[in-house]
Amino acid sequence: MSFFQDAFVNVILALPLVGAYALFALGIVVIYRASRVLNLAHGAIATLPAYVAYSLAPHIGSIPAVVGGVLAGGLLGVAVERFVVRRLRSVSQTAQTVGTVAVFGLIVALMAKIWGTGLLRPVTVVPHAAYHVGHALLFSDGLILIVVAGVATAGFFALFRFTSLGLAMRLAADNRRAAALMGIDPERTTAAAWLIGGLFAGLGGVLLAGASGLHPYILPLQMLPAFVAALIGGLDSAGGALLGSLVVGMAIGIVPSLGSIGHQVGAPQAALTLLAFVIMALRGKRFQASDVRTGLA
Amino acid sequence: MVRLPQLSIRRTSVPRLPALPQIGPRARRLAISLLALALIVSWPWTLPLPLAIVTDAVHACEYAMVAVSLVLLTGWVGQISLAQGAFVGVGAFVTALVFRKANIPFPASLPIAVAASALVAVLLGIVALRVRGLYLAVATLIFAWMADAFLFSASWLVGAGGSASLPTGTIGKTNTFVSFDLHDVRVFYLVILAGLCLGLFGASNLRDSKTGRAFFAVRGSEMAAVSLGIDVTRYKLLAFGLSGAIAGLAGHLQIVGDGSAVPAQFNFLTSLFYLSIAVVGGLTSLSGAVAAGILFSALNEVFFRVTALNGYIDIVAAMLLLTVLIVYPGGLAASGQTLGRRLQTIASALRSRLSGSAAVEALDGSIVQLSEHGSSRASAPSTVETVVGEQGSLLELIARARPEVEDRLELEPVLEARGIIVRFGGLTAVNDVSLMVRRGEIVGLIGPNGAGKTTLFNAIAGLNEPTAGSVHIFGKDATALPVHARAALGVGRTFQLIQLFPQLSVFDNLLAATHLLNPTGFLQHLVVSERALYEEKAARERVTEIIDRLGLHDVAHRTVSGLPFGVLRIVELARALVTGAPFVMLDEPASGLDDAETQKLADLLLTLRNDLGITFLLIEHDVAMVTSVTDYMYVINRGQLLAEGTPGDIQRNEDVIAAYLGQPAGQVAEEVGA
Amino acid sequence: MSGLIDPLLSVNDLDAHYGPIQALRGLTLHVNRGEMVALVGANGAGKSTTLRTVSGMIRPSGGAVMFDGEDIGGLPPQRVVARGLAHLPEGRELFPNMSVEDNLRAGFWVRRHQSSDYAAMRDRVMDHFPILRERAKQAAGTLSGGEQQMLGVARALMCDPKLLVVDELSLGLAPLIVAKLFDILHEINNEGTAVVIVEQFVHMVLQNTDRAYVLAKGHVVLEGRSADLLADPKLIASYLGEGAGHGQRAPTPAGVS
Repeated sequence: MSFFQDAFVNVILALPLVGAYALFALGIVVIYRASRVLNLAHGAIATLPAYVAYSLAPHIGSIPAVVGGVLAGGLLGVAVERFVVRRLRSVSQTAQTVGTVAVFGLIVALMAKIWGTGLLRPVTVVPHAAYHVGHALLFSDGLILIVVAGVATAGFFALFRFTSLGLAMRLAADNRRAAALMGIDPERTTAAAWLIGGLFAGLGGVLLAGASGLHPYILPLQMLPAFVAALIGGLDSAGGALLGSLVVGMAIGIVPSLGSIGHQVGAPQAALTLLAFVIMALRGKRFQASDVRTGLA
Repeated sequence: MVRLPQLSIRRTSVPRLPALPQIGPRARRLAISLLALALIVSWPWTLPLPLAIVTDAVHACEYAMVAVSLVLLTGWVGQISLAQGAFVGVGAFVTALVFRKANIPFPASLPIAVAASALVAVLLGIVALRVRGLYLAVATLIFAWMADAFLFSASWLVGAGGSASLPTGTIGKTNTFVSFDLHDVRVFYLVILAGLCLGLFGASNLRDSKTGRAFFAVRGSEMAAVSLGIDVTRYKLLAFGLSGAIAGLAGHLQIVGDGSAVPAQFNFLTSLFYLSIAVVGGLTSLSGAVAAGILFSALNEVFFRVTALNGYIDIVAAMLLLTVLIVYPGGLAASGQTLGRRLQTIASALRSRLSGSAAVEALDGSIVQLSEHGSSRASAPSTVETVVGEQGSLLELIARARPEVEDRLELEPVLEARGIIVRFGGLTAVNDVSLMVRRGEIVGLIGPNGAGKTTLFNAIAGLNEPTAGSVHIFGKDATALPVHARAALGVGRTFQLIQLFPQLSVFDNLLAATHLLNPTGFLQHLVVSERALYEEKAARERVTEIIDRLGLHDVAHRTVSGLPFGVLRIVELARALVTGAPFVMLDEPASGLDDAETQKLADLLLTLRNDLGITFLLIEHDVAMVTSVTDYMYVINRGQLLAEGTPGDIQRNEDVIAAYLGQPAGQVAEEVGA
Repeated sequence: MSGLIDPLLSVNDLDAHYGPIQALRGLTLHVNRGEMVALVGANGAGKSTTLRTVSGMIRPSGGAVMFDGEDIGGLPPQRVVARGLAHLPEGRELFPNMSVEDNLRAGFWVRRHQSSDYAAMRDRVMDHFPILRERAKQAAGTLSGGEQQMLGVARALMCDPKLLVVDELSLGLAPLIVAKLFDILHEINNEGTAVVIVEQFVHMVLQNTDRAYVLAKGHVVLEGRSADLLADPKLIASYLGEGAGHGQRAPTPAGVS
């Protein structure tokens, strides 16, 4: 088996992860562009829908359960913005972000309490099957992730390009003050952004759970690399987030097979952390929070 | 000041009780402290409580220690850390590592473990130099994630089998009188209590010192901090190091007590837990951190014992964090303060009831409360009278303070900027401007909106680096010097948008400005050396004197964030005076002041120059004010020097008038080439 | 002609703060339908603050703002513009990463349900500023200063406002371009839109408006017909202090002396 064949196989196998990270990263970016807040609760907002789907499935069937889960994600996003992030806007950006961290802790604790800390079998939308890719197997959940992520991403860009809501959101993200002067209510566009972010998170969470199992601690933490993906893209670029997802997904998927260094446990994480820090150091000016003192007002 | 109303009290109606024995307040406090200390140390043996409670106390100490490390880093210096669990983990695993590889037992491994966590924290701190606020939060989050996935999975660090172990031993030689068996949780309680006390001692010493104020300054306003000569980089890294050290100490003691540790104990969720404790405690308060540690440990115990509440502890912790963040940001510390005040009022009311003058004192207590909450706005002065008498002693005050600058005062000029060019991308904001300020002058820099004067000002102040040109301050080439180094040369400044430290009182804001006058370092502050005490006293005396001179005593102990704007402008000016800088740059000092306040400001500047010989350079939009106060003016338009001269010349200069008011249309037509 | 009884915009005893700073102190002015009014004064006088308070970007802390018979004090900007008051702020506040076309579309937002009008409006506006037609697909942030200002005015016109308030029209622009902008403002003024212009450079704006207010330290210090104010020496004094005025030329700057 040649290196390139190996590499090709690894790339294909990493694609589901890329898809998942893409869904998460897009959500993070749309929220960031609207609120200038990094939603550190995103992993939890992604996981709860998977549990909701799990609980709904026996009653209403798999696909409606998944839809219900995704909607729950959207609702959760709107709620977090309304009750935590908006309330803390008068304090500071940093306080808002810490607020999302607190929400993360709360949701994770609730999930652990309600559904326990064991590994549960998630809802699957398609019958379990495996496809041969080279000498490895790509499972159906992985394939679904790739397909759905692709469709959702296309839908995402279509929304922003062709609808008036998308226009309003883009305007508000580009210049909130000017948007208000044009007649656009920035609080509405912000709520819409969190709704979309939550929906995408939920979608990614339900599908990723299908691929890797349902657990209240592991699943949310597994989502963390999506922040690195968003960072790589510069935090306010959806296209950049996609690129970042590719980098992150490939890193996690491929690095372990890159010789002895790669085989170290956590080597991809270390590499990505280094990359993230380098990016932050290089583009330092971008990462100055606006509450870095400009006066008492 | 609040006046007490005159009251007539009918003493005959109040029953007379024998007076309480008079114990001096100091002796009383000492006795209470010793009693409390004895209780805290001995209760595991003297009180008939189950051992599980002692274990809870141990956990409370551990939580409190990590919370203290967060108070220092996040509360005081404003550097948010979601990675505290990782520092604790480093402390724990390094302890086990040195025992495993080099047979170094507790307590010899203590300094190694602490140093290791401090080092790791400083490395993370380097990232903090580039990113701030929520981006730092994410950076620390990523670090915590990486530590869990990579660092704590490395078998060289953690040991084979994914968990590190450390045989619990003894301190001292066994079988002698003086040995402590750490298997006994009560003995271990003493050990960890000692660790906590050490951390608290060091932290509180730092807080009330020059280092502590430098920390608050970094959080309050980095721009202002550097203008006071504070090396922000150094203090940030110091804060990370100290915080990492304390957290590492907690981890070290944790593994010594538990005997083993697994990576899962130090992941992001744990960091979140520690942050919750610190925030619930009030984030800036040491006593709050201790109280929160006790609270969380108690909750843990209760939720464990009561079966109905099993498994809810994490939810409650998260809810507590959210509630405190949104509704009650002061945390336990703030509620403690309010409670303390109420208790004080009740206590003094009780005391006076017992000795017969109930009415007046109760009234006294409630008036004190009122003046602190309700009518405080009304009693604050809206203008400040300048009282600069006894010129001799104030001049001495300034001169004695900065001996290294004094001899430079003989040099002329104070400031010389030559050929300054500042380009941003394709835009040339300042194009070959030169200006000079001589000793004792008040020089004004004016120009229409967008002319480039702020850019020029910032280039001179050191906030941006000129593309070309030089800046000489007191004869020294300062062009490449960072702001805090310029402050050391003798430059002070004020800001257009007030950059005081909002959570500190006026007094503490001014005290922070004594930074360059105080030669002691953080180690001396840590242990409260003789020299540190002496310098602290001198600094306080200096601030008190300047407060009195400028008539700020009424507001000296009020928090800056409640005061009227006119007063804040004076406070910022006072801050520049405290630094002893003989050259002060003022950025739009009259902005936001009404006519009367502007006049008072102008008078104050003239007085300070006439009596103290301070040199001023100011940017202003209020040209009328500038012409009344300055000796010489420079006019900038479209990035270039348009005119310079005395105020009278400038006011009559055609080019200047045209620059401000625009040219009459006829002239435009001429220029366009009719 | 001015409607004496029922001004379009009426500001009474207005106070406004930026955090702890009081920027407006008891400001009173009015604008009649179809008028063109200037707000002048030195920097820091409160001109921009006045516009921002009127358009809803800042909440007033005292006083009243009435527009077209309604009390709009305290309304957020999106509600104010819906009532026909368009504000072109200082620095234009364009959407820098969006195309010229998108910026115009943004200006049309309050009338977006009358989408049939959009193309017609856009063409009319682009007729005033042909350069924008060339740059339609370009990102607004990449335009030159003058082009950006034109786009700002064009965008503000898209919603066909009853009152247009413009802040610092001439900032950083060559006099020729400013003159052209004034011509366009005159055109729309003749079509019925009232205009308020804040400007630092008084001569041009006084020659192009009916009435003017001179502001200092947050309130009105001088008001009257623009033509009268042009000749008033108090005008220069309010900018450069007592004793300022036309006189001999000062010696040319000789560098560091």
